[in-house]
Amino acid sequence: MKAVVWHGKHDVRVEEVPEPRLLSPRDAVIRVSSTALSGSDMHLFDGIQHGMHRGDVLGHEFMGTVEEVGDQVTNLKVGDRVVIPYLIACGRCWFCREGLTALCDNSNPNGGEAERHYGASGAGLFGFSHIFGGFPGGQAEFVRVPFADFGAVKVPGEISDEKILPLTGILPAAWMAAENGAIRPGDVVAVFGCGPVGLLAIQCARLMGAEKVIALDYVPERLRLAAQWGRAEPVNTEDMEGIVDELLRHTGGRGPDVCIDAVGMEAHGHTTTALFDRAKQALHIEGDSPAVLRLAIRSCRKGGTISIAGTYSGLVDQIPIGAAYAKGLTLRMGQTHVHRYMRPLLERIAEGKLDPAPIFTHRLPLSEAPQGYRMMHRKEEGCIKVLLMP
Amino acid sequence: MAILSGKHKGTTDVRVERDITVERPAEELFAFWRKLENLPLFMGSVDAVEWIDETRTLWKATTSDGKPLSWEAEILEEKANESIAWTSVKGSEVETSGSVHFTPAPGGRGTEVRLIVRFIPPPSERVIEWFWNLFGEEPAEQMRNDLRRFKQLMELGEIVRAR
Ligand SMILES: [Zn+2]
Repeated sequence: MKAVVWHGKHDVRVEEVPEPRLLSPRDAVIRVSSTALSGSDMHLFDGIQHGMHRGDVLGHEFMGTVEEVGDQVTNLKVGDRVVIPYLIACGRCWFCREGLTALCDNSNPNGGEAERHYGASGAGLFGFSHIFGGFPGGQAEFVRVPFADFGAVKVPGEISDEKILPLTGILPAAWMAAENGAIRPGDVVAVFGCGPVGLLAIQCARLMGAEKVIALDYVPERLRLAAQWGRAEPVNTEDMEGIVDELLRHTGGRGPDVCIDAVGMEAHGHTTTALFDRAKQALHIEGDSPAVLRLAIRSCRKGGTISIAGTYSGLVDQIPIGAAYAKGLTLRMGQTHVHRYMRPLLERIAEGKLDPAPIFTHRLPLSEAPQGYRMMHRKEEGCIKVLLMP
Repeated sequence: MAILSGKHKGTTDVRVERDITVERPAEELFAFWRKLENLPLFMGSVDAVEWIDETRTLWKATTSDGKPLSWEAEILEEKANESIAWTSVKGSEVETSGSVHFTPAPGGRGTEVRLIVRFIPPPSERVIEWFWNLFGEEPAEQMRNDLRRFKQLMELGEIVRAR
């Protein structure tokens, strides 16, 4: 079958690879109808995530139809249309039962390595570093889905792939980002970073009652979309210096009630020194330092909440913890517990309350995946997110 | 937590200790572990454990260059549903001892399992090859993965595979 294969920095190729097969009675094999490129794929493309092996099949956002099921997958049958969470969870451990599926105890076969890096292991991930299991991904014609009886969500035929596919990760991430902000009606919410998750988080914050949303980014096209879809007040962050003041001006000197960091590290290096070095170079919102987190802490209202949706993976320098303490802030963060949000969000999509489809600015056949990577990487032609069709 | 004492490659003991919580009753975990022939199912560094008599077992492994390595061990002590301790017999090429302990976890969260393994030097080059190559930079990591596989086997009935 054809699949997008990682070869190294800025080198992904569409190649013939063996078709996946069932390895466990709880597996399913899915025939992929649509798959997307994500921000994490850009990290892999940049070669900054270690633990990738040449030959790895990429892709953590995908959906399709059931091709084959294991004996214990009694809730699915061949031909069912399904969407798959980007993280793999066993459904039976304490964390899964608590709804904390991103922290599944059992789904990462290389958990020992994750424990060494992070002190604990979370769930396994499709198409990502071997620290998270090295599961082959879904930018392919077929993909094996472990614990399909728990993870796969059946979807009705009448809703388009473009609306369903964001359920694999970015829409749940956006929802959890807003939920972690504990938004109350009337709140002012600042969303730092208007990539796909940030743009969707604006929609989610609105649904949760945010009265005013301030969108921060340095890409004019993204700010335009934030204003258009989420009626957000755009703040261009080209000049980082004035941002705290700007946010105070937007909020009568109070600061935003909730700050959502939808940027994260976006690091261009994972070693401690690289991060320290780059922290000094913070120039842009989508930079390579904890610049956003610092700004969020400095601007957030006293007693407010900071919700971190962007990824952090190493150490960061100069976090103004004194300001966070003095202002009594709450910080919440983490990988998205995708499983618990998929069905409720599917309902909102079906009811027309949420429409994540416009996030896909470009559509390409799977065979042109390398071009898609380059385009999304350079943010060419207003590219926000690329959908691939096998 | 893992506690590693001793120098690498050899002149002092290497002792690795690791805890994991498994959501099954202590009796069940004890019974599974007491059948030492089950251990290779989740221990990455051991190929087979065969019974010689009621307390003695033959452990088989493979060095990184593909040569077989084996040693005899005997059960020193056991407390039903609580602990099992073993040691290699005198004169074995691999001199090792270990114990596993099962304690009910608070809040009905299953059983806290503690595994302690010690290797006693001076090991032969072959043992270093086997032990060190498998354990990589940090000996505790292999044990972490062993215990995680044990947990998967007990909680899910299978060991999760990426490919
Ligand atoms: Zn789990």
